[in-house]
Amino acid sequence: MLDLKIYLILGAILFCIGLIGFVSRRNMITMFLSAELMLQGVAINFLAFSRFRGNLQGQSFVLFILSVAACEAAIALALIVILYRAKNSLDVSKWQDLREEDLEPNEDQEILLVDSYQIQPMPSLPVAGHRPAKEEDASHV
Amino acid sequence: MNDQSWMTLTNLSLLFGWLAVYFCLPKRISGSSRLIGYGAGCIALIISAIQIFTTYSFNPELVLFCVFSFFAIVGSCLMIVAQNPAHGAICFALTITSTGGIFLLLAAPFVMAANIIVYAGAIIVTFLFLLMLVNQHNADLADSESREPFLASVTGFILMGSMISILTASFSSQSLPSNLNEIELIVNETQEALSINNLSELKAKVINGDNYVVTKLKNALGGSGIWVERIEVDVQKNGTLMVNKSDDIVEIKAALTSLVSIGTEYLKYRPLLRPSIAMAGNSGADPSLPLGKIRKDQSGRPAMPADNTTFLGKLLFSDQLIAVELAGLLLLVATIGAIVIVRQLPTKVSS
Repeated sequence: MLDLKIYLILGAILFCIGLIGFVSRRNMITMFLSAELMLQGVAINFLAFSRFRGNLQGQSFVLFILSVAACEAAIALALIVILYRAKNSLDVSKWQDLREEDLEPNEDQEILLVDSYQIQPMPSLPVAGHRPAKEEDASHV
Repeated sequence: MNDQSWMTLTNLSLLFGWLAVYFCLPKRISGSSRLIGYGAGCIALIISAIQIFTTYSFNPELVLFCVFSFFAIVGSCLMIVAQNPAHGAICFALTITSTGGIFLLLAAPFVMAANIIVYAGAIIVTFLFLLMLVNQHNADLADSESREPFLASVTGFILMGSMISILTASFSSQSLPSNLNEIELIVNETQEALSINNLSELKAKVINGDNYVVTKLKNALGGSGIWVERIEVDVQKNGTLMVNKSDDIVEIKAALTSLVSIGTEYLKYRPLLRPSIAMAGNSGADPSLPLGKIRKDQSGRPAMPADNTTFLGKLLFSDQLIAVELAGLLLLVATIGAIVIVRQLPTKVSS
């Protein structure tokens, strides 16, 4: 007879694997799928509590998680498409310009600059936390 | 299997799992490290299987759980280490379908169907479509190299280990729910005894030769989770106090009062389950019922309604009607937002 603990442990394992994938991979689609994996771990937790409490509210909560995940997928897909259009790559490291002003760029920057296929000019984003300079064409994404 | 050896085996399999994930994560110089990773992963899974099969009695549910969780964990690990994101998406679909099996084991067939339709049906297909649209070059550098694989995997596995050890510690006493009722009885009894002013009568009721209330409370607290241990120490202290000063009615009453407070502190974990507003009763057992009073099925777990979808629909459209409407609104807004975001603004023609 399985108990609540073993299901919670399975949820925790899936959540942590998704976490590792989210922080370590650089492909935006893999990162997104990892986030969905974390949601799956949470859903297992909800269903396990629902089962071992004899109450359906956990299941209805999972349905809401599903609908939020669907919205998230739609928005993420749209964002990934425009980010891809901008840099011609799915690599999140190409968006290091968005880092804080006093942070060093990631070490693999120079390799990226060597290999990247060059790219049509796109609106440049200002460093976070500063008012953008008013020169030239202030276009927006 | 006791908690000690369970945690030892868990740490061992976590170590091998960490090795597996670390060696399999794409790195610039990979060489044969993926093979090491696969080996370590197999060892970790074998250790976990031994752990599970020695802890629980053998029955069909156990076998199904092992099969589904095996595919879920292997699929998710393969997803986060996949160099080709299309393979990753397929592995994610594998994870989702086997999670569907786990959902069925948890008596949630409707959620299982919705999950598979939404994830494996819609999201995966959309993402594969996007991958084919986008990935027209050769393999990207972003896929063949991960960012800080060591730190990331160490962080993840430390979090996993702490969660598992906390779960193991807090679920180690199987009899926690019935204990709560027992403790409530003892606490009530002690409180009644506090109103007695005659020394001999009080001793007859409470101490009764062999430190009666204290022993009962200690036995009830016996299955020790982490947060019970401190309370047990308190019980020990007050028990000796009562034995030593058993001729003084004030001392005895003080000890009894502290016993009552200890028991009440233990009992305060139960009202957490009680919502302040009563639900309409569409969701199954009333959440305010103590776990011991819920109707059980043959396997000793709370009974769930057999027609899951009917009850889920009733629940959604009565108790949670506003939330359902808001979810629908959210979907609409997300659709509009996605269209607005991807729409290419007409570029100004300079002529």
